[in-house]
Amino acid sequence: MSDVSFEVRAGEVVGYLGPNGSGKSTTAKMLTGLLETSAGAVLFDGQDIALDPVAFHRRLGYVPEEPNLYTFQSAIEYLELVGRLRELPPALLTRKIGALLELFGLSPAANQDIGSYSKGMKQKVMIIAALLHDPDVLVLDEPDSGLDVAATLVLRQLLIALARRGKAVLYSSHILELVEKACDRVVVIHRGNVVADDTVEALQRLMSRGSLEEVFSQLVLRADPERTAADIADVVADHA
Amino acid sequence: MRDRLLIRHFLWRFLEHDLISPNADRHVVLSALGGTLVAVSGFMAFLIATPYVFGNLMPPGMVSLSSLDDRFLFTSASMLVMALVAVAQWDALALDARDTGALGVLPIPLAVIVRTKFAAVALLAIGVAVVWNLTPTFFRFVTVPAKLPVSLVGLVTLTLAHGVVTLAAGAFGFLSVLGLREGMSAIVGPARFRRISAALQAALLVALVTASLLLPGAHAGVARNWLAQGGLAASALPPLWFVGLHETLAGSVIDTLPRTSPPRYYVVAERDATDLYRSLWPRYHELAWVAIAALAIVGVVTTAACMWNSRRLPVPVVRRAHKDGAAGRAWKWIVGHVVARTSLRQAGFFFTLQTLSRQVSQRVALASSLAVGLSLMLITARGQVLGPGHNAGDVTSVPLPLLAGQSLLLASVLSGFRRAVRIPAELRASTTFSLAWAGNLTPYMSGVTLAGWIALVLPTLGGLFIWHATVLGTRLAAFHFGVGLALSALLMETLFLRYRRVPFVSPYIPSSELRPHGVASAAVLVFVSFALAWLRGSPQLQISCGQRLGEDDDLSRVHAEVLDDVVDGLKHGHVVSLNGTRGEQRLGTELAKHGVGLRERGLQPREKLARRELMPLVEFLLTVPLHGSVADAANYPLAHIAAQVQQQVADAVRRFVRPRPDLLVAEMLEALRYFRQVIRQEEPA
Repeated sequence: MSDVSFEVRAGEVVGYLGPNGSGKSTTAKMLTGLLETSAGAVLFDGQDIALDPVAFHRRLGYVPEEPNLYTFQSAIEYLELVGRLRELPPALLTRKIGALLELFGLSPAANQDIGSYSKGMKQKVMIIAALLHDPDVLVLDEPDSGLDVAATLVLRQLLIALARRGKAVLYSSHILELVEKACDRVVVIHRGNVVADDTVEALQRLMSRGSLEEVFSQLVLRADPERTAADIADVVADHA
Repeated sequence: MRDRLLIRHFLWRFLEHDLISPNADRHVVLSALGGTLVAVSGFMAFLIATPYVFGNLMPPGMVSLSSLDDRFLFTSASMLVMALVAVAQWDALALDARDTGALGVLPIPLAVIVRTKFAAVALLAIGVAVVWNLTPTFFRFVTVPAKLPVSLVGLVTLTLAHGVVTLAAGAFGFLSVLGLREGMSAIVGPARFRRISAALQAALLVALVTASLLLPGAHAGVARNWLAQGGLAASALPPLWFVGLHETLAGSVIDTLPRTSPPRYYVVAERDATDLYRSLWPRYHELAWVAIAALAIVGVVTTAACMWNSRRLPVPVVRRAHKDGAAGRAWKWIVGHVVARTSLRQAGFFFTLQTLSRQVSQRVALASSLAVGLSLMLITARGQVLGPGHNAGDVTSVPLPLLAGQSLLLASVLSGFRRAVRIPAELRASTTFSLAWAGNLTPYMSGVTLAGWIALVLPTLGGLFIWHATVLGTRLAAFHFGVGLALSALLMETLFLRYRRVPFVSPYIPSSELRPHGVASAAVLVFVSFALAWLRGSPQLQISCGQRLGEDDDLSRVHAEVLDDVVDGLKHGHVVSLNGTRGEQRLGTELAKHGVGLRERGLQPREKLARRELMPLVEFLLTVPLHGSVADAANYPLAHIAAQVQQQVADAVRRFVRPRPDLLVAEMLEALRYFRQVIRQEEPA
C-alpha cells in the first residue's frame, strides 16, 4: 500500500473497489486497527485511532472478508459473547439478537453449531455481530460473499438505511452493480494506489462510460477479458 | 503412485492435529515426537538393564523370575503408549468429512481412498511401535547377567521374542482403541457417535494416563502376586497374556540353563525362584494362547468395524439444535442474576464453559491433569486404611495420605485448567475479541475463574465428598470439603495471580523460563517429595523387598549365611542393624494396619527417621560401600570380612533390592550414585 488517502463522511456509503490483491482487505484491516500502518495514520473524528483503539472499536462495526467464528458455538452463543464483551445490557442484547436473527432468516438454525453453517449463514452472523452495538462507523469487506439474492438485496437497502441514520459506511465489494446502486461515492484502488475517488455519476461522465463496470474495467484492467478468456479455454482444451 | 501420494497425504494429516499447533513445522513436530519416544523408552530400558549389569552372579532361576517383572513392564508400556497414540489421533483414525470434501470430488474409487487411509493408519501404528520398542529390544541382551552361559542363539531368541511380544502388545493396545472407536461408531451410527465421541475419548485418556503413571509402581512381583494367584483378575490383565507369550517363546532359554551350584546365600532363593517359575509353565502356555486369540479377535473386529464404517465416504454430521429448556433458562437466569452479574463476567463465564466442554485441546489438557491427579492420589493413598481405632469425628485418626489426596487432585486439576486457559479456543476467531474487547480484563477473568470453580472444582470436590463421606463419615467429609474449597480458592488465585493474557484468545507462546509454571511446579515438587518420603518409609516397600526373596525370613537367612564366613568374635553391629530392619518392618506393618500414616511417622524422633532413611536402599544395597564411610569402624564388622564375601553380599542383595521404578527417578539416581561407590571401592580390591 502506498499513498492511499480518502475520507468517509457520516451519512455516506463509500464503495471500495479493486481487483484481487490490490489491497482492499489490507486497507480494511488498517482502518479497523487490526493491522498497523508503517506510515501515515487513520483518523476518526480527527484523532488517530492508534491513540485509543478501544474507544474507536466501541464505535466501529467490522465485517471481515473471512467469516472466522468460533465454530463450536451456536449463532446465539456467539452473538451473546460479542454483545457481552461490548457490555450491552442483557435484556437489550437478548431482544436485539432474537430480532436480528429473525430478520436475517437465521432463527431456525440459531441454536446449531456455527461449524455446520453455510458461508452465507456465517456471513449473516458476522453482519449481525457488527451491527449489535449500533456502531457509528461500518467497514464491510465483501459482506455479500456467499449471500443469496434476497439477502444481498436486503444488505444493499440496509447500507442505505444506515447511512441515512448518520453512519459512515465503507463498503468493499466485487458486485459492481450493487456498489453502483448503494454507494454515494466510489474509491478505486489498484496495485496499492488510489486511482479514482469520486461519485459514480462523476466517474461515468469523466470516463465517458455508461456503467460502473465499464469505468472499473478501463481503470484497472490491463488485458482484454475476452482475449484472456479465450486463452484460458485453449489451455483447458489442451490434451497433448 | 496415486496410492503413495494418498498415503503420504494421510500421514501428514496425523501431524496436522488439533493437539499439535496447526501452524507448527511438521518436520519439527515429527522430530520432537520421535525423539521423545526414543528417549523415554531408552531411559526405561537403561534403568531396567542396570541391575543385571551389576548382578553378574545372579543364578538362572532368579533371573527368570525377575525377567517376568521386566516383561510385564515393557509389554504394559508398549500397550499403553500405542493406546495413547490411538486416543490422541482419535478422529484422524478414520475418514472424515474433510476427506470427503477434498477427495470425494476427485475420480478416485472409494476402495482406493479407504485402502490408503488404513494403510496410513497401519504405518502410523507400526512406526510408533517400532520407534518405542526399538531401544528396549536392543537392550534385551544386556539384561542377561554376563556369567550366565547363554548361547548366541539364545540371546537372539530372547531379543526376537522381546521384540515380537512388545510389538504384539502395542498392536493390541492400538487396535483395542481403534476397534472400540469404530465398533461404537458402527453400532450407534455416526450421528450418535459424534455426540459420545468426545466423552469416550476423554474417559480413555484419563484411564490410560492414570494406568501409565501407576505402572512403575505396579510391575513388581508379577509371578507371586498375579501369575501364582491365578483367578480371573490375572487372566483379565492383557499385559500378562503377552508375558505368557514371551515365556512360551523364549522362557526356556534361561530356564534350561544348567543349574550350577550358586553362592550359598543364593541357594534357598534360587531354589524357590526356580520352583515358582517352573510351576507356572502351564500358566504361561495358557496366557500365550489368550494373547494370540485376543490379538486375533481384536484385529478381526476392528477390521470388520472399519470396513463397515467405510462403506461410503462420511458426510458432515450436523448436530441437532438444542434449545434451552426450562432448566437451561433457569440456569442462565441464576448465572445472570446471582453468579455473574456484569456483562463481561458473563462473557468470561459462558465462553469458558463452552470452550472447556467442546474444544478438543482444552478437553485433553483437563483430562491429562485429571489423570495425573488421580494417579498421585492413588499412589499416596495406597494401602492407607482406617484402623479400628478410627474415630468418625476425629481428623487426627485419619492417615495423612488419605487427606492429602484431595489437595493433590485439586492442584493437578487447577494446573490443567490454567493450561487449558492458555490455549486459544480458535486462533483465527480471535479477531472477535480484538474488535469487541473493552480492555477490562479483571471482570472477564473473574468470569473465567468462576467457570473453573463450577465446572471443575465443585464436581471434583463433590466426587471426593461422596467417597470421603463413605470412608470418613459425613461430618469429617464436610470439614474436608470446606478445606478443599479454601485450598481451591488459594490455588486459583495463586495460579492466575500474574496472568495478564486474555484467556482462550492469546496465542500460546511456550515459555523458556520456569517462572510461569512456578506455582504449579512448586506444588508438584512438594507433593512428589511427599509421595517419595512416604514411599521411602513405606512398610509395604520394605516387606516387598523381603517377599522378592520368597519369605521375609529369607533375607535374614542370606545374612546368616554370610555371617558363617565372618570370623568369630566379630561384633554383630551389622547384624543388629539388619535385624533392626526387620523389626522396623514389623513396626511399619503394625503402623499400616492401624492406619497411622505419614503424619505419625513424621512425628517420630529424628534418629528413628534417620535410620529409616537408610533402609532399605542404603542398608541392603550398600553393604560394602557403607563401611568405608563410617567413622567408628568398630561398630561395622564388615571391615573384617573378606573382600570376596563382601562382593557376593553386595551382588546378592543388590539384585533384590534394586531401586524399583515406583521409587521414581530420584531414588534411581541415588542408587546409581551408590553403584559408582561400589565400583570405586572394588577397583583397588
